[in-house]
Amino acid sequence: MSAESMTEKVFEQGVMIAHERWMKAVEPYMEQDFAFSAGFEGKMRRLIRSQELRRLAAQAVRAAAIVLFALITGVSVWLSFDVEARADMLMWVRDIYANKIVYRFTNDKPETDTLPLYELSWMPEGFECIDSMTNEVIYYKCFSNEETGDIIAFEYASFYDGIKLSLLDDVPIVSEKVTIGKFIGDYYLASETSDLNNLVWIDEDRNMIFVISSTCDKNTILMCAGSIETIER
Amino acid sequence: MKRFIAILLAFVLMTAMSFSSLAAVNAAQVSMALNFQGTTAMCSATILDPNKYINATLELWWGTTLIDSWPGSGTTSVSISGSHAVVHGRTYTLKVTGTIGGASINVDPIEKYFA
Repeated sequence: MSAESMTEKVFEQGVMIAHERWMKAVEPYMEQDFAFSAGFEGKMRRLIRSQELRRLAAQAVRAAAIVLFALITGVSVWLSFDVEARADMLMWVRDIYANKIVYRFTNDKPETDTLPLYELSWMPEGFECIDSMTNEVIYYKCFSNEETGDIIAFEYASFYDGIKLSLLDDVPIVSEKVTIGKFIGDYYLASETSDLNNLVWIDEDRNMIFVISSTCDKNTILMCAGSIETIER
Repeated sequence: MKRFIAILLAFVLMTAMSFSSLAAVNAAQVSMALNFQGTTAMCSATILDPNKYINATLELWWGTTLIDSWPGSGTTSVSISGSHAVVHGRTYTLKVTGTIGGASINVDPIEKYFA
């Protein structure tokens, strides 16, 4: 047994003896009404208040620690996806992983909504359509230049829950902000493992996502994007 | 003990996130759409990777049951679409499987509830 625990034991025994003696001493006065002085009652109130404050402070420290932990965890998760992730209305979110970018959408599609018709009114000469698909929510056309081997793909979709766009690479994807008319888009540069540059922008007013993917240079892609025209059905 | 569990939990979370970020994928662009029209699921996907041979299948699942699939292949660009009757109150999953230039396509599926 250590000296410290022995001291505690002796102290506890002493307190018990003092308690018993005190109780014996005050026993004759137990039945009597006793009015404490104002000063004593004030001291007791202050003591009770300080004990209560200590308890509240301990609770506050515990709550702050929980909030801090949740905050650190939340921020870590947030940063691992995208510091610019749009979550204000949660209509669309862009998840950025090390080598994958995923655009996903959460809003419901109105039954009556139909896909507007857009076309590229300009592209470099020599390109011919090699693949296309149009349905209720997606429009896709891929053009190829046989001589140069370049491709330009134009795709847009009404963004609703059930649409997902993934840009994949073997290496981290590098992007920069670009302006397309009144929109700010993201230009994803081709890496050493891919010849494909991707330009993505979103028209929130019309719930549309636009993508131009091409092996051509940035200027050509931006000129294609700037030439988009609405076609009347 | 509580502190140890909290630290362990944070470590596991961080490790899991690191591994998910490092998963190997192909260099490509893949878009997918699952849309319900009446009682029909309209499914589509486009896959783009210049000068690579793409061999893909678009699959519609209900739980662990594959209810329909549509194949597509080609070089550089492949677009696949298909439709299948669906039942209210079920959750459907649209997946793209296959290879691009011999490497597996690794994209997250779309899950959608048909109310």
